[in-house]
Amino acid sequence: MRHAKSVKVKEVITALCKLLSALGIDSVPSAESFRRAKFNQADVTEELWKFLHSILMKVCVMECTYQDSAQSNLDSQSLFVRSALWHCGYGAEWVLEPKAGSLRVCVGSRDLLLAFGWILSSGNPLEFLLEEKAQQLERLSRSALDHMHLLGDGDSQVDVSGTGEGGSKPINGEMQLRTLQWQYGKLKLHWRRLLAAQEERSRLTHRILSSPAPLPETSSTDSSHKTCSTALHKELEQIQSLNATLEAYLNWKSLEPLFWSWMDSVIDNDVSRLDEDAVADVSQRDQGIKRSCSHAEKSREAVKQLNEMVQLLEAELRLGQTQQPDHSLSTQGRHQAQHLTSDRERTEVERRVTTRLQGLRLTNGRYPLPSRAYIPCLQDSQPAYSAHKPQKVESGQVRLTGKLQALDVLRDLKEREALLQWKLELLRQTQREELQDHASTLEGLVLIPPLKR
Amino acid sequence: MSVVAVQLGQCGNQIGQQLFSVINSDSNGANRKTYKECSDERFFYENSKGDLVARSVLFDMEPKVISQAITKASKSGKWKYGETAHFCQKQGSGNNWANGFSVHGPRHEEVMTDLVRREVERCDRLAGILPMMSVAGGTGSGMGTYVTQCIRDMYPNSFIFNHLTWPYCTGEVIVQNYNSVLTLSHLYQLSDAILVHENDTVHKICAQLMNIKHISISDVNKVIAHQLGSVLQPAFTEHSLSSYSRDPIGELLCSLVCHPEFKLLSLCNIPQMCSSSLAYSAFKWPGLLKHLRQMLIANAKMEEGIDWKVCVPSVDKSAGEMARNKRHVGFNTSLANLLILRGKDVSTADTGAFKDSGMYAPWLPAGGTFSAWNTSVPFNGYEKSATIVSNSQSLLRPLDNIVKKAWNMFASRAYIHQYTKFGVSEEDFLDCFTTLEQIISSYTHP
Repeated sequence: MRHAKSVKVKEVITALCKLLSALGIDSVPSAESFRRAKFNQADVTEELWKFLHSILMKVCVMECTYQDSAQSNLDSQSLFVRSALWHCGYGAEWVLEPKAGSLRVCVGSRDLLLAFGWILSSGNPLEFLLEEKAQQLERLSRSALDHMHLLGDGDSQVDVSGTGEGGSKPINGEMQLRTLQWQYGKLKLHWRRLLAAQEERSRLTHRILSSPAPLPETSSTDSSHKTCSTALHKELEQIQSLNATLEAYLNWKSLEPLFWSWMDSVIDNDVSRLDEDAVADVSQRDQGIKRSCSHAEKSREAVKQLNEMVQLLEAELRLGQTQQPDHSLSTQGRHQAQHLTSDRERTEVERRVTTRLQGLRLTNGRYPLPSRAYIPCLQDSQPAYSAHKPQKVESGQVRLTGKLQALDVLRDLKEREALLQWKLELLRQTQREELQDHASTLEGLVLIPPLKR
Repeated sequence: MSVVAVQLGQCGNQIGQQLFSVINSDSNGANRKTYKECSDERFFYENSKGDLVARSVLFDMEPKVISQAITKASKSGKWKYGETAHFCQKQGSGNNWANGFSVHGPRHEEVMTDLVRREVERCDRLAGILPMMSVAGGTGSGMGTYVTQCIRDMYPNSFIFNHLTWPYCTGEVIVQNYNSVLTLSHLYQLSDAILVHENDTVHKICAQLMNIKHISISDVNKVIAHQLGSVLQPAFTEHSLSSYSRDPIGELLCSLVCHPEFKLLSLCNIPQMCSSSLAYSAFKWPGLLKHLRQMLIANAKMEEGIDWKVCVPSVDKSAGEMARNKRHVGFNTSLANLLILRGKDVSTADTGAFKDSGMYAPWLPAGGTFSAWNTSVPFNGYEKSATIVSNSQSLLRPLDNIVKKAWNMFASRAYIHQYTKFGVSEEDFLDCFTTLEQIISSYTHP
């Protein structure tokens, strides 16, 4: 099963690449690049930056009808990628809190691959792009009302002053809109008339061709048809290209589940790398070996910080147990807490807490609070919910320490969360207002609210 | 190039039969070989026995009217209906739109769409589909709407040109305004254009112009069929000056209903009189066109009782919009007009007066508002005749009346249970009212 999957992975990713190219995304990496990114190879990082930039330009920029032509160099591209991901709500550390220095250096290709996976899974970017593409290729099958927004932001260069009185007469926007709708409607009716004529022609051609004695003159009429139907050929090409896009999409849809299971394996890789890093870091700290990769160094720093925190935690734990053993027993009835003081248990707990805290590295990074008040907070976020899982040793352990200030800390955290939410809302509000102010100063620009994700 | 008629309900079947009869007798007049060929191709086909068969399907929930129409057609000896081109049941829709739309329509969908498809496939080129019905009853309006919906699904790119007969204001059916509201709002989304005949107007024409003492439904239908025929019979258009237009419906729609919010078409023609006085009358094109133009701008459907005081508001260039926006009492603003002239010396007729931009909504593109068709072949016994198909405010008042009356009934929830029991909810009603209010608003401020 697993083997079959791995065999198919290349095919799956190729299907995705084909679809993306058909949807007009530039610099789509090859399936091999995807594979290399899974193993965090540095040589494909640049390619992925370009790719993410291209896809985000298409998906996000269309939403807010903003286009910055000066996005040529890779640094500004990566900056754009980061801010676009931030705007979409992607919560990786390098997006939320980038380290000093160039983004391109400290973000690995696997991070970018994961970001791509996130883009693909949040909202429906492919469907959105497909719709855009279909509309581009099949102009006339749209109804006039669909075009209201297109017509609305039509520049004044478009000649709609067709009332016979010349350009001297002021025509307001609504009238322009109606004029264009009328013209568009007329065009569409003409198109339908042509369609009927075409149907008739094909019917008659069929009749001639299927008659027992075909006329020799057909070739000459064919050539005359050829000369007069360049527009039709163009239309045909467009329809064929649309067909190809739709086929690519269908193909991708059938293979999509496999892609996601492959992405799972990428995440697994990422998680196991974190574990390895942590283990390596402990030994490296003792040996004093320095690594050259700045990204790894950053993780190592975080782990070191966490290790210190764990030590602090242990100390507090011990303190709590020795100072108030009776209280803890009487109030919480945790008899097994006594056994936790044994060495084996302690190392076990230590290891688990280390891994867990690594999971919370992000929070820790943002709020460096290795204080007394913070320590139970880190542990307490779990026990409040894990009380239903008494089989876990650490939950017992944590609950024991939780009695210190668990409630206070919870309250504190909730308050902080509320504060942050409020700040976020405030920020959003300001951003929105700024955007609206900006849009209102630009004539002819219509602000289309972002796609609902 | 052919038109397929779909005759629905009592009204649609009677008018349809009358229309084919008018068209056939008109084509059989003297000296009109090409005209007849074109007309025949448009509305009839020849069966294996060489008979002329109408390109039409007949639907009704009661057999009486259909069998009358078939009998009348075959009695004429000149044309007939297809032997299997009709479908009827034994029980009517009880003047209930919901019954026709939600019960009869879906129940017989397959049979009906098969009949339409068969007729459409018989055409080398489908010019358009012409469903004909009244809006007041149950079968024509409810089932007609359902059938139109099916046709739209089957032929999304073909032209659907609905002909509707609006009921007398005084009313034949208590729920006629409900039925009208439901039909119109649905058709507005399905159809490409809706040509309307009001019974009241036609009745007046019968009484005052045709001098008919005891007006029967048949008389009313004859006037409607005459007017319709004068539009649908062959003519030279701006795009086909040397041969009869092969795409009458397409050209008509292109000149009149390009905007999706404005789809209502009204019709008036001149002259109209009883055949006895026709022999003693002589008409000149300038006089006819002057009358017709005044009928158009003063919103009169007959040449009698035209308000000559109404004039086209002058477009004062210095004052710009202000002068134009001043409401002139009784002035009927047009969006687009199609003038069809038939008869002797048609080339001498000057149609310049219809191109006055003051007659039209200010946003319309120059040259896109007025079209003229003509043929020197006289129509249906009239030496000269002029018809104008107009997309204008003229139907605003009757439409507003219908909606108001329906709303008053709806406000007290009168008879609503008759509709809800067939699955048409109050929400549906509200949606329909909204659609029509939008149409009224669009036409009020064109």
